[in-house]
Amino acid sequence: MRRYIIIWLTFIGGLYYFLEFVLPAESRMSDAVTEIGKVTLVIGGCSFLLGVINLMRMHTARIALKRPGWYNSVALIVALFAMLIVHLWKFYANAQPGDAIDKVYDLLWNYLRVPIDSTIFSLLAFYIVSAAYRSFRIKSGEAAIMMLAALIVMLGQIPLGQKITLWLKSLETDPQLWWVSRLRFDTVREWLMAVWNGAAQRGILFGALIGSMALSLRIWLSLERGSFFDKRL
Amino acid sequence: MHASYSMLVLLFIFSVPIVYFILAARKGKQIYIRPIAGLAAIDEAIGRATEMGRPVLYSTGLSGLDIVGLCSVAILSHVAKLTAKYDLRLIVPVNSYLLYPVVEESVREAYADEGKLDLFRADDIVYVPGQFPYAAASVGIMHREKVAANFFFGYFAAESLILAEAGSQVGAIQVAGAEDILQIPFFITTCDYVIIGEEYYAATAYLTREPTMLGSLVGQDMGKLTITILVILLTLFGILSVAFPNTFYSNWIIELLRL
Amino acid sequence: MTENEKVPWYEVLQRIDRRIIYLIVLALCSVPFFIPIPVAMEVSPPVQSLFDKIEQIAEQNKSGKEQFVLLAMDWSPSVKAENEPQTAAIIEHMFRKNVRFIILSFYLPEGPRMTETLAEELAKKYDKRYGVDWVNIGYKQVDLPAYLSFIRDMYSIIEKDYRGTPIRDVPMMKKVGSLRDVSLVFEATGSAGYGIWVIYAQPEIRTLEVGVGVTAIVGPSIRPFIDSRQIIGMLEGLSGAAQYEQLLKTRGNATRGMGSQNLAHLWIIVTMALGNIGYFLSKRRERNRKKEVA
Repeated sequence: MRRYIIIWLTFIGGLYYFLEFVLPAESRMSDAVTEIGKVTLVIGGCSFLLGVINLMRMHTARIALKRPGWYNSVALIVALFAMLIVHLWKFYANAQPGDAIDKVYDLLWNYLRVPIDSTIFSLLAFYIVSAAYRSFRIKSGEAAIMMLAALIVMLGQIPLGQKITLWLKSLETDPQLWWVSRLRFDTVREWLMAVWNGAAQRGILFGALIGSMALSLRIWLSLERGSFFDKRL
Repeated sequence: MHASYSMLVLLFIFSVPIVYFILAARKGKQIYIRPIAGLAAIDEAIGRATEMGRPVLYSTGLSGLDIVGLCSVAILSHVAKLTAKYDLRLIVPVNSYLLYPVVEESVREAYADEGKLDLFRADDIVYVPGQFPYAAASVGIMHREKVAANFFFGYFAAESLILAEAGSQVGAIQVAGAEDILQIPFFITTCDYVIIGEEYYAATAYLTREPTMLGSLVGQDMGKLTITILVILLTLFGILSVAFPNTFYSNWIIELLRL
Repeated sequence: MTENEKVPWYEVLQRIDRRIIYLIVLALCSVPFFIPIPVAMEVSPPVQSLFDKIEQIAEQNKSGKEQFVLLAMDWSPSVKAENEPQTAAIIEHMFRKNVRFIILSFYLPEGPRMTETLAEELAKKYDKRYGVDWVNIGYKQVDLPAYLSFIRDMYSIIEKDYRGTPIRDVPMMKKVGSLRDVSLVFEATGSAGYGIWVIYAQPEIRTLEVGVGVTAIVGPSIRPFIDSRQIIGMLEGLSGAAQYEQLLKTRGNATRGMGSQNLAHLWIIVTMALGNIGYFLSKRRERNRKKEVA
């Protein structure tokens, strides 16, 4: 019984937006959009809280049962509450720059959170060099074309690379050799990205968007199957 | 924004085949999907891990409880059955608190189906929220446990290269599958086999033989065929209208789409 | 090859220790901090287009009804290196041209916070005031229905600004009736947050244009939208921000960072070349060996 209620509620919810889209503006279906949006905003806020509750539940269980790595859970909970308390204190005390709580907030945000996140991301710079060095070998014709394209794109986007072919720009006004001026690294890069890459990305986008349309249809019509959707409620 | 007439027509052209083929597949219509080469790579990777006697790591990436995550769980189930069969340890770092219980249950069921429930370790399903904490934790696991095989199936963002390169550094055989095209270049340079784009869903459909997924795939292919035909027609009309500017009126299709 | 045989130099080229590679990357990225490298770039059409749009808004504001810019700041500290200079360049341009803007984010709470810091720093330089010249709405966790509601009536989901002031009491917002008063949305993101503006907002509000500032990895996927003019301009990675700074005739963090990017890119090309030289020479030696044996 409960399953059928969910199926019908899902269908009616989706049906509203479907009709709102396909019927013209005169149908006044759009009038409720703003109010429904407010309702979903509240639901979204609740799910945010659900996430925090779930996080706490999981990590307190790890600490209580002394599972391997339980001290990491302690660090997580301490960090969560530290940031939360400091931020709320700063907000409600209307702290000004230079106040003690503002300095603590600065420490946690500017000197811990931001550098830690940026540092892990910066590992990519090193990894991309070692990955490129290890794997880019010209083993076939296609690999050679790919290597050439990669070279042009890389040189075309850095100033030193653009400088190598900048002198060709002087041929722009030449009646016979004007086309040679288009063979600069930056212009060829732009052409590769706009035309070849653009076409490929467009094709991928078509597939991805049809896929998401199919998914939406399956969820709306409750055709979706899988371990989660088939669970007994 | 409201749909124009042409948009309505296109909406039905795309939607009807999807629904039709799903319903047809559910009624028992046999649908063929070509073998996905990446799935053989999974077997090969597990085989190698068995020979080396080292654990296997399966990463669901940043997938939540959505279709990408659930497809990843379906592939994880297949991998877990193999690791259970060969008495291998399977470590699964999970980023989403919503996906975590589904993953845990899926792996437990796989081990139970193989009669190896005693080998299942709940502590090997590791929940790590946050993008880069997840990456750092997974990299740490790879180095400490010296994993022999890595599987990356799900939604990945910038951490994909960190994960895959670290796996490459420990000498693991790596198989990746991601629907999002942005991270594919990183996986291609660092993994031994990559399942790209639509093949990710096809791999799930192939493994599970779920009628809904099979039917949906065929319906989507019909949609793509429609777009291909439209693109070819419009390109031809565009070329002809430039070649014969006063004799060929190509704008009628564009006007039709504007209706 | 026996143990006593020395490893040929071209084999070594294929097996350079990655620690050496990493050390060189570190050194090359650090050098420009001490020895500034002159950077003069060719400005790409997407960057120029975005610049021209803000110039156009500034011109129109002089004579007609004032138009605003919405900064959708969906970036986090991890992509700060690319998105922050882009945001800083756009804000500086708007401050110079007296174009007023609204900051918000529907994806990440960090974005508006870091953008606020940028805006406050630049405001000192151009004598701008919060609430009058810009407003920060902060982060709103919305899903699609709430977002559709925002497009129809932005005040339906926005009650207060980032500082807790009722939004209707903020002086600048008295001039902003709805999203139709916004001429340009500039989305700065490390992933694909621009989708909602292109798919939902633009068809609803035909006069709304979308520009993006994205990390270099996302840049290629934006091209179809630029081609169809659904997105009118793009700052792609650090080089996009550096090009924008060049148009502004200023030397900011992007221009400084391009020095490091210059050298790092060249090093990638060198390593790929070394690897391939080693590979080809190895293959040739193997072929010659096979011929000798045959």
